[in-house]
Amino acid sequence: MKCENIRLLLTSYLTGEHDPALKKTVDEHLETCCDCRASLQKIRSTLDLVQGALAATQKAPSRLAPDRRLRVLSTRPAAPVSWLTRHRPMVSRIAAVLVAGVVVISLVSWQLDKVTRESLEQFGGAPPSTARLLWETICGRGNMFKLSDMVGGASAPASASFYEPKPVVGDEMSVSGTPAGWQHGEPLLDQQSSSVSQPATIEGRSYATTPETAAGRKRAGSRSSPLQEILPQGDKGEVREEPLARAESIDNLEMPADPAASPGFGGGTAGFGIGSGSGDEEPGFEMSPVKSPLVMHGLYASRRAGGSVTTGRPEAGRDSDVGMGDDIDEKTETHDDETVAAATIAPAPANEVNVTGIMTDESERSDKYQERSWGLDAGGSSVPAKAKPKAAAPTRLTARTEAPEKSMSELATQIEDGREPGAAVAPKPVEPDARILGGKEEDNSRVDSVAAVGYNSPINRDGVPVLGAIPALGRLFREDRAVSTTEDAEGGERRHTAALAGVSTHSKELREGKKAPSDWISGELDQVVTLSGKDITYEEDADSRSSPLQAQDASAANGGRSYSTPAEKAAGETKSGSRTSDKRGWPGNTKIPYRPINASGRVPTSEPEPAGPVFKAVGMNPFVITRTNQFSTFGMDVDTASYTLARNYMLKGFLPPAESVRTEEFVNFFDYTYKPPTDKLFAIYADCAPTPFARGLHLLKIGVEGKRLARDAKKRAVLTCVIDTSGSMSEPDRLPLIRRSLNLLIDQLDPADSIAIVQYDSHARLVLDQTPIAQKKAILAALDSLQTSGSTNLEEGMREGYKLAARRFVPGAVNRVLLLSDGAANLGSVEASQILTAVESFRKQGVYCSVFGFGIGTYNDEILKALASKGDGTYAFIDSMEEAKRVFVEKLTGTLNVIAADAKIQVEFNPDRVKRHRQLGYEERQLRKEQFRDDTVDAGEVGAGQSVTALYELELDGPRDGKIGTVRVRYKNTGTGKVEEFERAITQADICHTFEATDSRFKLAAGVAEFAEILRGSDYAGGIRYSDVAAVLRPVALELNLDFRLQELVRMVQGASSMPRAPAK
Amino acid sequence: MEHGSTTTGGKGSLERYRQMEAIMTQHEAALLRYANRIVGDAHLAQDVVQNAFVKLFAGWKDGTRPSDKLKTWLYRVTHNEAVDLIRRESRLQVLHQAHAEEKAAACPDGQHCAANGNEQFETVLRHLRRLEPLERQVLLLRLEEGLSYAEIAAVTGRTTGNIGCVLHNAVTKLSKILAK
Repeated sequence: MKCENIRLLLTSYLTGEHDPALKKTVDEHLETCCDCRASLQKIRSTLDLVQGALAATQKAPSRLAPDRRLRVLSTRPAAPVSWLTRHRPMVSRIAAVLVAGVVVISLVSWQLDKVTRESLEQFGGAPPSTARLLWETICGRGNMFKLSDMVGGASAPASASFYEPKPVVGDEMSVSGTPAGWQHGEPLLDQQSSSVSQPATIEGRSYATTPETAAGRKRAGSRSSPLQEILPQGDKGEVREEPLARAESIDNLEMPADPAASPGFGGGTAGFGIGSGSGDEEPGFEMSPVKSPLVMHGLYASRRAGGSVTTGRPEAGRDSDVGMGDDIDEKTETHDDETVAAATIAPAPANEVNVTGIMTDESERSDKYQERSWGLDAGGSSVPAKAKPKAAAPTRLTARTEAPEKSMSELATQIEDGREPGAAVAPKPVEPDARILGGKEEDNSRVDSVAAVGYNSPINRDGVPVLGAIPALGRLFREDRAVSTTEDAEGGERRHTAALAGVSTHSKELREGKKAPSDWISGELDQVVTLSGKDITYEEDADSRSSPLQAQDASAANGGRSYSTPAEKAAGETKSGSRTSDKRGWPGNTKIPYRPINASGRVPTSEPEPAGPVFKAVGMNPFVITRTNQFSTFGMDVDTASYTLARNYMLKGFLPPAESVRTEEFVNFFDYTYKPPTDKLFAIYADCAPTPFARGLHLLKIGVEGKRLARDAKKRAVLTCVIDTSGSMSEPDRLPLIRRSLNLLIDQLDPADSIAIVQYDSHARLVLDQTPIAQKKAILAALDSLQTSGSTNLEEGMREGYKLAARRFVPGAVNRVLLLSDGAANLGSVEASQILTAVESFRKQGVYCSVFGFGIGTYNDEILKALASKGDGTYAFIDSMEEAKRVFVEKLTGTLNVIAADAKIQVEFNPDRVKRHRQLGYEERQLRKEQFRDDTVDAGEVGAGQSVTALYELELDGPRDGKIGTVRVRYKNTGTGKVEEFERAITQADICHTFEATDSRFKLAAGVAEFAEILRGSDYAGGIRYSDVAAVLRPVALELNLDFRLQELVRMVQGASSMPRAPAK
Repeated sequence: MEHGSTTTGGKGSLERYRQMEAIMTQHEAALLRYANRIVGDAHLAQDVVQNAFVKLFAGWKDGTRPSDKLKTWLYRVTHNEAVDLIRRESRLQVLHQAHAEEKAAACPDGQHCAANGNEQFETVLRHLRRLEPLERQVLLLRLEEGLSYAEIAAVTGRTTGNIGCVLHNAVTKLSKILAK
């Protein structure tokens, strides 16, 4: 399906009104189309906003007011009238037809009358009084005689004799019937109504009676005959008015008769929904269309007087005693004068009183409005009374809802201010200079983290500083993307100086397009990029030591601008600070004491041998120019310990040591919900979008998801737990937590699986030989028997554990040693390397090692990570029951069932599209390009259902076609033992054009990675604050609110800016 | 059908009373909410809902029991009552509007104003009111009242497919306005 079609479905898709097939189509399309995802995101946020607004501003009461409730409940079914009321349109239609018939007949008779009179005039006879003629016509001769007797008029009998009886309509209607009706009406009539001229139609003939007659009639009514007054009053002038009056009466009657004709009740015009067919909708008699301008005021007045709008129920009161036909007749008679109708109702049954009661307040109000709208109506002469307000209603409605125009820009700013999710993360324009100086107002985290960099300025073997190692340069790289110094052949000193002093100049040059940004770098990078990862050695160098001073000199000379960046400070401190360990020869020297720097930037004088946790510092992956090296190769890593460690630190109120932060472990801690593959062992996913944290850079997220195993595909597990029970393990977050964690693990294992327990403190002891999980009690008892004491002899513990595992080796099963320890090992480097060698050799025989760290105090992150890495196992740090649950329950299958060994990922970038690239994290897992196909190289292990996420920062360039790169995965399938490799291209379709348009998991990855980068003091994260990261993560946490870890992360990020670094112990 | 009810036969009026009570309790909150959105005034909304219920119960005999169409019928009648009311009071509403605008103009600094905290929401609502009546109706019924497309179709007298279209248009329109 095409994008346009899909987009039409998105709202329904979000509101969940799709049949599954269509939903699947949309799902499939969304996976491939980033633009549609963006639209979806937009619609989703709009929906959220509207829903939020609706929820927040709802002020409606939840219940009807008690008095209204009572009124509703006292509604009685209007039984006898129900048919009429419910079929009112039909009734009105019939009435209209009848009335129209009557009117036509009377018209005809009037015409005849006129003709006769004219012919009479021709004969020369005295024309009779029109009123008399009329009366004759109506009442017939007999009546007339009787009347003339009563009146005693002289000419009546004579004129009557002129005419033969004409076709007389409604002869049987006795005049005396009318007064009977009046009598009812009388009590409610007031002077106002009677003073208005009221055309009274009798049997289809209209009398335009003058006020005098009406008043007279009123009086006469009580005397039972209004006719005496009518007769003498009648003259020609009055009769001429007849057609007009009649015409009005037709109008009036026809309006309610045809709801479709009166726009108010038609469905179409106003868009109010109900079609004319909806007969159940009453035609609203209270808005009664029966209003000719002539009688309006009279009507209005009478309503007032009656205190009831009567809701058009003239029938209600009378239906019982008057027949249908009569009803209509009477209506014909009285429809212009609702006073009568109201009067008729007044004595009606008790429920009418209720109606009146309900209506009083409303009717008063609506009377007022009616008055107004009538004023309007009077202007529109031929428009039926209802038409005008009806037609006007929609427009007025719109007019009313017109908002003040000011809102637009305001809204825009609001959204910019970050109330709108994602809006705040728009790349900020930060000048390069400002960025460099940005360090000044930085928190201490920057200071000491940069110090760490200063410590370890990576130098390649030729003694040339690696790009990332020169703090200022590194920064320039990120900010400026093309740091150019004029001298590239000069020594490091010179370069530093030039770089710092020349920031403004070269950026100017850049702007003017004088320099090709990558020109000068490439030469140097030729050397550097090939030395990625493990080849980078960390050395102290005269250059980097002396450079800050040089730089400061230069800056002082350069317009007195202060370049006291943290990096330089740190470098200065490095120089002055005591260096205790020799950093030459990286692999051999594994310990770098962590030396925290407090807020003032001073290095605290601490004892050379640290008692605190031990972390190994690694450098940052630098930016690599694609033309010089288009490959990025690394081993997969599914560990998450670094994040948990950091969390543990931060819960205690400190930032984690910069060295303990590994970006990839932060990123991999979170679940990105990749769809697991069904056919292959791995599925590769790629997303790319501009990063909100650096101008002009794209973030590429590559996800590799391992296949999930069905239950029967799981192998039997033979586990050997090596538990550290040294004195340091007695704290609640260590041995007790280990016990509870193992309880979880045991619950997860199958009864056929078995477990053994080895404990070690000063010496190692076998606590429990391999015991099937079926004998759970024995295992738990063994666990409970563990006591802490003594020192930590990790070496012996591991040896004992492996010995047992080898003895109880079960071919075809998962043979795994689980080390549970706080990592405090009284080890020399020799012993450490011995253990590692042993672990590696055991791995080759099929006994693997997983490591679980507990407790932070004397934690040796480095040795534990090395063990897990050598043992082809996972490494997790467990600081709480939640984490234990995550590791031993949710991720257990992955932990135990490795589906791929030595899994490696290689990304090949297309140099035409990608100018330069930098991988976030995986520093320790870097491989050389050619190692990708070298199957002897140890790389990462991936368990069933585990996923690996790698992030790259890219600078894209060139035409928007052509692929961006290729991702290759190579691994040894542990099921078949064969090495497999497959690839996936990253194409333009994977690129989202805005960060906001990306899905929330992408935003999460970007935020987490940046958080880690800041925590570890990456040069590439300069100028980015925790609050920026929080701004990105907050909406994500809201959106994925089921994941409690996210909320925790957001709290961590928000709190990070006010935390000091963890103090040395 | 017309009243969303079917008649089965006579029972006591106490039973009828109880039913009425139950129906009211079940629907009044939603109807009040909806009416309030249309007429924009809590008291008028009470009027509207009261009228709708009166209409329902006027045709409610002993032994009548609610059918599944009752809900949509009530929404429809409430909507029509509300629209009638607005039409009747449109002039007054214009006055109200003018009054409200005066009030808004009275706090140019945007502070110390009653609705300042909900500025964004107010904006959304203002734009919501600008929508076509049908679009607004559909949007409210779907997003606030949570009616299904089929139910909305029954309330508005349109087809289900058309409802989807109208809703999408409304949302697109809103998102465009709001994105400005």
